[in-house]
Amino acid sequence: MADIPTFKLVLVGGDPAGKTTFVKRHLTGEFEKKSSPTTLGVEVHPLTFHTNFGAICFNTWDTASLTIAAAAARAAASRSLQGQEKFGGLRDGYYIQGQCAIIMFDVTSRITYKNVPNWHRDLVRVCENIPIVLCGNKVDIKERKVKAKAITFHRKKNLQYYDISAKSNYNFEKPFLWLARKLIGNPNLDFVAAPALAPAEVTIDAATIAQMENEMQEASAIPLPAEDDDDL
Amino acid sequence: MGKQTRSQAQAKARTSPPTAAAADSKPAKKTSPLRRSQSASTAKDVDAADMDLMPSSQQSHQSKAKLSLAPRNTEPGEVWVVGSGDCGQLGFGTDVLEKERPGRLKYFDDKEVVDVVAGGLHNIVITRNGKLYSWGCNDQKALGREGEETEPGPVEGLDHEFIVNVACGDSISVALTATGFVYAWGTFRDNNGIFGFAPGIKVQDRPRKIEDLKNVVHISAGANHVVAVTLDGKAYTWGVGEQGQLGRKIISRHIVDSSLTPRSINFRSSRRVRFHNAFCGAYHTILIGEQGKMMCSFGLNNFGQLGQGDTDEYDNPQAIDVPFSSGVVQVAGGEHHTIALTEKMQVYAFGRGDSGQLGLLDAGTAVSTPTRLESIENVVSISAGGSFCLAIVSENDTNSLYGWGYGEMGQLANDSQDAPEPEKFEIKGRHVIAASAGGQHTIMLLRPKSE
Repeated sequence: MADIPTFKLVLVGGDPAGKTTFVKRHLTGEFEKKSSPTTLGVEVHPLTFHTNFGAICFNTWDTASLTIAAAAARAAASRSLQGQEKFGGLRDGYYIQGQCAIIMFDVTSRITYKNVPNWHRDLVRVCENIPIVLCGNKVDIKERKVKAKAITFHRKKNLQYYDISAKSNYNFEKPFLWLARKLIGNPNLDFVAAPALAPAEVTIDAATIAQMENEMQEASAIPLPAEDDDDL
Repeated sequence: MGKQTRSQAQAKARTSPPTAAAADSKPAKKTSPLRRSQSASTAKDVDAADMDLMPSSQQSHQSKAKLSLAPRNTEPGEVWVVGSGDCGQLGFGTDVLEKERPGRLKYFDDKEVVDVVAGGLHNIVITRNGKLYSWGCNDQKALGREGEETEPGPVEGLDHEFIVNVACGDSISVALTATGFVYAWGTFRDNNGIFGFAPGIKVQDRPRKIEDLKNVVHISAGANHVVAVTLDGKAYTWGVGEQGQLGRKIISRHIVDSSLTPRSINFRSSRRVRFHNAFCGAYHTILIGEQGKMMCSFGLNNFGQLGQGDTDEYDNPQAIDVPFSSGVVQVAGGEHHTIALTEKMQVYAFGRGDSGQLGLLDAGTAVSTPTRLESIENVVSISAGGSFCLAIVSENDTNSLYGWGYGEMGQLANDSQDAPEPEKFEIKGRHVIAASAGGQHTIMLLRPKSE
């Protein structure tokens, strides 16, 4: 395994965007907990994919999840720094030497979309020009709140965007494929075998998928809005 | 968020030298606790012109007298918005997702708006007769109404009340009545999603009176918590306490009920401290006592936004070692930063600085002690949003608006750039009555100078 090209992938986003659910879909990505002071509360999942150019591994960094009970215990008893990490402003150690990134939000909660620009800022401040994918998770849920048309941030910043659904495995491999092509520098790179994923907990029917993809297509064709003459 | 600016401070700045504010409150201290809290809080003397609008008569300081709070401002103006609108927070309908230059919401041209408050993704404005209008993200009912969310509409269920102040968080909205009662609606969210609104209520879709809270003189909201200060100097908090921002013990066995029920904060000090004001950042809280001479803080401190000189977490109030002698009249907090306005009309900043949100050129990543922002003076009021700040500045016989910090979403009206130092908003022939910084947008109350 040691000679597989390996890249550090930084996974960020406001909770509960579903980051941890997402990385844990990949069944071979057994994680190791980091315990040095700079990475306290971080889990690293090595996610391997097989391409027509050989295997590639994303060492995917995720902030460890904190249960309500753990939060309560901490609130009641401690002044530890662990857990502060969860609320934006991860330490530089989390980003340093990051080679690619996924910013995730929850399409059913627009509050999680609010800070996408700030997550992006934090990434580029430390990592500069790395490939970044923006992912709107939970598209399996009927009451979608963040409409395709409203997602414009990636267009301004030249990021790639994907609708995903961790629970249904919909588009799971898309962000990794896009990142792999960027990192290897070859647009002809393809995955030759599907990764072993946890079985889908929900399914999205083909008509819904077609509709979502259509909306995304239409949204990307709308020019970014211009200003009115009335403006100051 | 939603720490809106104080036009009351503006009035003060025009009529008296800044240091007079401290002198103001001293005689009041002997006569009436009400007056004392008024001197730096929401409450102020009722103008004769407003008497017909006020639901109760001018207060006396007898304990049985009904509390009567006045709005911070009575000068109506135009409502302007700028910045990100991808969740409908600009109010121009479903198609306007962003504005790099301020646009006017003509809907309000005949509504006599006297105050504007921005939350994470929504806004609420107050009219001269104490009524509210809201727009923006209504996913968890922060608008307090049904109907189109991307255009303004009246908040429902408050027809019988006169509202003098509003505070907006991420998914929570809070309103203070002229008689010192508090209404709230929406919900609080924690790390796992919806945490709840009150014991037994997940999401509250219309304004609901908070039982057991009365004689409230000031309210403020963080992303997911609320603080209310009462006439007798107590500070009550409720909401989510994950980061210590409630400043009190939460019983872990009853975490939801214990967090969502307003409880007063116990500040351990050699003598009893009366709080007369309180302000929230997204995940932290600052209380003001002793006529502004004492500040204490608690909550998230990962960038030193508590001003304690470190980045430890404090879940109980800790006094801040203040490096200035004049009192603090207002504090505003964003996601990870804090600014404080003193009686000398100077601004001090602390917390995260990597997007320029402290306005200090040499701030680096963060500054954990209150540091004077020397590039701006004669400040009459302040506001802080996600990663940026606003300040109303008295200059050349008018009030101008300055902003600094993260500006990529257009919230600083400067072609979507960061401003590492305070930069003046171009508002063509208008003066600023009030302004409020939201998550990624700015709302302003302006008035043409010719009027």
